[in-house]
Amino acid sequence: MSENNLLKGLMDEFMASFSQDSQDAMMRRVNAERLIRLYAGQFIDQHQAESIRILPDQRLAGEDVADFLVQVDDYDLRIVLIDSTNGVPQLTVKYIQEWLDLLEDNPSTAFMIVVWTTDELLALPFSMVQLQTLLKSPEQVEDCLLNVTPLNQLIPVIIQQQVKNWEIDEDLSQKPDERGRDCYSIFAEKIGQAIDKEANRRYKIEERLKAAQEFPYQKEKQVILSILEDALEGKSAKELEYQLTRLPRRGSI
Amino acid sequence: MPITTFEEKTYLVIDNCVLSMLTDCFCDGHKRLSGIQLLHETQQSILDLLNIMKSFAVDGSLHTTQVVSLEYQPQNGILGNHILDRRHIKTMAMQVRRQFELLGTSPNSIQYLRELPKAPRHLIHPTDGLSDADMSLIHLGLHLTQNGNKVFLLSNDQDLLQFSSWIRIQKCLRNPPMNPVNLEGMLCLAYLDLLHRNCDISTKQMSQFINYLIRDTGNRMAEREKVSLNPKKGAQILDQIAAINQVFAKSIEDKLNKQGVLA
Amino acid sequence: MINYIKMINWRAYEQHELEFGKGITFLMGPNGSGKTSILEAISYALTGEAALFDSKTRSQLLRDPKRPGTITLRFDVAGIGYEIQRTQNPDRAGGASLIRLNDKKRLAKTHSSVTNQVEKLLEISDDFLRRIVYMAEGDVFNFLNAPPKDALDIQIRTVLGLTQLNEFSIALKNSKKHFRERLKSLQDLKSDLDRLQIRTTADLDNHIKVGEEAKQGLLIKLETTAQELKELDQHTIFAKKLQHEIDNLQEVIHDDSEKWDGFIDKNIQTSLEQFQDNLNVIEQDLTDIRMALARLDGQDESYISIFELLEPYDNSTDTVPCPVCRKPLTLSERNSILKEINKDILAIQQQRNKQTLTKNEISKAKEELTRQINILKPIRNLIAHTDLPGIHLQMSFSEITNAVHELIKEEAIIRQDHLTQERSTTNVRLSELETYQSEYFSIKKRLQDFGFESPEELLEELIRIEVRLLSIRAASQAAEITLATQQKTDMKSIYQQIAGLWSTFTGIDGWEVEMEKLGFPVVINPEYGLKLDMRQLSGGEKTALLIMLHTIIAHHFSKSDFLMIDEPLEHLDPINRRSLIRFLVDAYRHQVFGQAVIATFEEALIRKYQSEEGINIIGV
Repeated sequence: MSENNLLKGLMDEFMASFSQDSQDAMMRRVNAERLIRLYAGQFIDQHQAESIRILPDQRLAGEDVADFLVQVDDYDLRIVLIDSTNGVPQLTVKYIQEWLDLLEDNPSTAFMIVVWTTDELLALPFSMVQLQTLLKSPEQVEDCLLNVTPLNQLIPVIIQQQVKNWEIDEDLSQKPDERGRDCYSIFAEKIGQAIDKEANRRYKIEERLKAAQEFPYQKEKQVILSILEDALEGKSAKELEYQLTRLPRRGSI
Repeated sequence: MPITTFEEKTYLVIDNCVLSMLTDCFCDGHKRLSGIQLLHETQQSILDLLNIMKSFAVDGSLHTTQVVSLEYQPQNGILGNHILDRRHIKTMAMQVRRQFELLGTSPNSIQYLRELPKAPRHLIHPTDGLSDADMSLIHLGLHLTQNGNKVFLLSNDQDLLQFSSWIRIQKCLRNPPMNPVNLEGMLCLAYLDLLHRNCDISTKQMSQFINYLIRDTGNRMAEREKVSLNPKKGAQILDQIAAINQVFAKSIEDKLNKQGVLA
Repeated sequence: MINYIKMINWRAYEQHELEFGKGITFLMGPNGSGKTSILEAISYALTGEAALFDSKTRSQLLRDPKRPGTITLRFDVAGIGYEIQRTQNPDRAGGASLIRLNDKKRLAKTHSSVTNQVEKLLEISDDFLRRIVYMAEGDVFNFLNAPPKDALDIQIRTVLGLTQLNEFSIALKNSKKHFRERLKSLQDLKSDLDRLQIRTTADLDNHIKVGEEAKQGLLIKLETTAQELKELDQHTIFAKKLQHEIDNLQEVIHDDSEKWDGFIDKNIQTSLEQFQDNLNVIEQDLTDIRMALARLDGQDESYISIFELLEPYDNSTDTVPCPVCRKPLTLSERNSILKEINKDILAIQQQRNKQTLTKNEISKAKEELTRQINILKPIRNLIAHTDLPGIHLQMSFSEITNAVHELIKEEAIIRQDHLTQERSTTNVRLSELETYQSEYFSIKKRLQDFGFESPEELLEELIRIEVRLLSIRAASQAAEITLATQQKTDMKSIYQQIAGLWSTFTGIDGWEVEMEKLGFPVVINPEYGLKLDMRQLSGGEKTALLIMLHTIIAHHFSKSDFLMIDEPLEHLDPINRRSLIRFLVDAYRHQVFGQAVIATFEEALIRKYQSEEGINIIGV
């Protein structure tokens, strides 16, 4: 036990007694603060590898209350503790505007998590959009309160929702025994065979026969492969056609 | 402004660290005295306070466990710095222990608390977490809830208090007549301040307690400076000290209001 | 693995060098800080090409366009280190080299040979490397914005090159069509050349020359024939004219044989001369008579004027002067004179009448004679001026008559027909010849119209076209085989791995690969009756899928264990950005790839990984 904790704890309990008008309410506040710290500590321990930081915020409403800032990667969550009425969560519109202002001023805050001083630390998350909706339609507040969840269940869910987990299939890391060949390689092999086949056909027309006999194998193969390269780089059929129909200079065969 | 007042009598379970603190506090208060006189005055102060506290207990008793009471060793505190016969200190300890209803527990009888599902690991760990003595207090508190009244567990151990806050909401322990919800952990000074506001403890005495705590904190902080305490942390503590004084001032104000001194 | 890169005068950098380690290197910096420059430098070093620039715009890679830029890249394959150096000059490529570091042996020293060597080392073509290993900025965006149903298919086909191969096949097909049409138009000309036995320019010129000569010959012949025909026509015309005149004369003779007595057998010329002489005599007589008549008329007029002078006076006592001597005349004297005058006038009148009668008779005779002469003259003129064969003036009329008849008959029937026939034949031959000649000329023009100077050039062109067509046919076959191979094996294999991935992203198991009718693989879930639909995925999932796709394909086709991705997070919402970064880190941890260089500006997301092994962050 550190002196700091004792002083802090004493401060919290004093403040609780000065903000609540009954012992029960005071203890609700005290218990809620303790549980938030307990869960915060547990959460940090569980997510040490994920560099989640939980800091006491204490900037809300100017009071020294157990408000926390949960910093996760590029966003944060603000946990704010408010009193329940006889252990039942309640919400007034004045809070909504305050929280909306806070979210607007802090774009990195993804959610305001409101925790009530209830045994299970019942809580609700509010995004800026949700607060704006509630501000416009305060009658929806009651319905909202039906969705309260214990804080220790809520925070992991919210954090989990901020990142999707796409599991890597082990098969993906397996390198195939036999490699496929890219289309250029396959084509480069097949074109030679195809040219041989075409050149060895029997032609009746004189020019065809002569073309087959005098076929400039290497040059033409190179031309075709070069045009295929251009095709693979994304040239259109029209551009490729232009290249295919350009014949070598006269005298070059 | 809302303010809590003392409302109902409850069972009181007291942790040894409370007794130690009070012992040191009274010692400090009687520091002009020395030797056996100091011891006697200290003892008396403690017993008086315990009697006051008893009067706010629903059964007129203070409770603790055997193992906890045995941990009360006044000689480990300020008294140990004085030249005193150890036997006298032991007698004092016995006197104090006698003020309590003691429950005997064994590691087995409190093991179930370490085995509760989803219990905070750092608290239930047998060596790094709460001790058997601490757990025995929880067990005692739960036991007393069977009587239907609230049970206040007074301690300065934040881990113990935290565990008590956690225990009270565990549904698996809600086996009537046991009702863990009725178990409340509170810092001793916070409880005493409630009594103080209720005009059952003098402001002077309460101030003494607060001041002692502050000074004690300050002294320990000064010790740490020798091994380079984080200056920021130091400043934070000083802020807290100032804040406590301010808050206590409100407490006094409330008391005075009750007394009709402040119109 | 890429170890090191140095850039000099390259895009955002005057001079800058970086070292890379295993794992993921995040290049962090705001837009315009030079992240893409580094990726382009790596691409350029390995392949000789930058993904975003082609050979025409490559000079834009230089920071200072007036100086050359150099990239030095070190990498290792199977534990052996290599260094590539390439230089890009402002207006063209500069030098290049590939050196093996352990023995400093230079393995290549031109850009293309460096590229070839790198291809061999990595077992991947440079084009494939640019398409698969390097996901340039915009690739993700294009994938995300492709039609959801087809995005994956399109991407796989594009990355494998099948889409491009399809374009290539279309180009081959169109080129084949183009050449066939050209061949068709050239073949017509070629057929004509063959038909006309023209193989060379000399053949053509020779044909034209011979044709010209023949044509000249025929023209001459035609001219001659025409001349002969003309002459024949003339003879015929004249003969017919003569015939006509002779017929007329014969009619006349028949009507008035007396006058023509003895004429028929007399020499025409002689007859005509005789007539002329007679006419001259008659003319003379007529002249005399006219003179006499004129004298008589004169006398008559004198007497009449005297009469008129004397006439108007009445029977009074008046006297009239004598018109001659002016002596006054009495009425009786006047009357006596008048009586004398009347007697004289009467005598004159009688003489006149006599003369006139004679004149009339002579005139009649003259007329007759003139008519005879006029009838004969045409005959004589025709004979004299037309040079009709077998007919001359010394012949008698009867002889002439017979000769003309014979002449007409002969020429009309035989000679004219013959000559006409000959002319006609010559014309036909000439026409045929002109047709032939026009063909040769037209061939010359047609050759020129096609751009050929000679038939040899046409033949050469035909052969060149056939050569190219052979290549195109071969290429079409090769493309078909390549497409089929990749569809059956590579695509199926890739889709099978995607089926595995799909479970991850959709949370639904049981995806399988089926080949549909057209031979393309599809991913389906038989249990739920679902088909792979990109709409099932969020932007981040699509991006992750795209990256995995590239990785799968890279594994499938090459030894390359390396990825480069430019701004994969740009179009994603915060949740998907975080998810993708986590995914990439997990992928590295699971050894899905050995090394990746990723450019991004999302520092906050990467921070949490910076202390992990294999994660490097380089600020740019």
